[in-house]
Amino acid sequence: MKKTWIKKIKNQSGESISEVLVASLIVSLAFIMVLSLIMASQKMIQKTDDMMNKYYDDRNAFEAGSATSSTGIIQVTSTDAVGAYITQEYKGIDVQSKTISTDEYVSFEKTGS
Amino acid sequence: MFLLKRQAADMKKRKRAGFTFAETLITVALLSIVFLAISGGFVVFQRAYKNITRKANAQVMLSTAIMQVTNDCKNATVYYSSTNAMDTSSRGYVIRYYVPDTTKGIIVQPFNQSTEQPDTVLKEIPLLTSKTNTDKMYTDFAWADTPCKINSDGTALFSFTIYIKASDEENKVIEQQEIKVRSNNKVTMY
Repeated sequence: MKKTWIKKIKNQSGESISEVLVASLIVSLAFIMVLSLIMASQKMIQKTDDMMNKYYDDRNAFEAGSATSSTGIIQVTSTDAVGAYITQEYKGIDVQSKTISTDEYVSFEKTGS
Repeated sequence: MFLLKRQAADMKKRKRAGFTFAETLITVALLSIVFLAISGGFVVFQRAYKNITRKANAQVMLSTAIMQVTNDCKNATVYYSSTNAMDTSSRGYVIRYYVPDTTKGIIVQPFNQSTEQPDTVLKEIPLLTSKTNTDKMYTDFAWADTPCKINSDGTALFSFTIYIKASDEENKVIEQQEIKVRSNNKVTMY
């Protein structure tokens, strides 16, 4: 391997056109790969930006109480005086943000769009 | 024999001749073009890489800042409209957000509402640590035209915008997000 390199360096005849072409091809490929990597990361960043904007817009609407309602099942579970769980299920109601008391919790199962 | 000797002398002369002026000029011109192309490509690549990393870091900073301010607003109990200060249980005292310079970004300032001056006993703290303020970027904060609106159930709806700006690009806005936060508790507004 070392001998081949020394031979190549000492060689006075220069490079053949095919060698030059192959070298340019390798350089071009490397350049294209780097360029595609940059473009892919740029696209990814843009996608993340769009997703973040959508998430915060939806969250703002939810916090402001102006979000579009969706249909689903809501279960409000509350403990009575002896610690038993009483579950009430509401089907097909509009879901909006609502404050509940501390001894209650709400679980939501989405059925519609 | 004579011919052989002459040929050898010619070869020796040729070996020591070097490049002509025209060859050198063409080589220098070609090298300059190649160097310009490489350096131009490198600059474009570096700029693109910087923009990408900066945008990604800005997104992280923005999310972190939003999370911090949302936490304060969620736990607010009192809001003073004259000074934009609020009493929040997440801090345990009255605070106000302000941006003194481009190095620290948003500062959480303990506030004395009775004197309407910063609290001298408690220390002000940056919203984000210096490690989070990366890439010569800083956070900026602006309340909306109606910063606090009391809902019918007594809770408050806070509205504000958080900006991520670059101090080395004439405070150019890299990221910004308008945020609305509904408090967990009933809020008294003065």
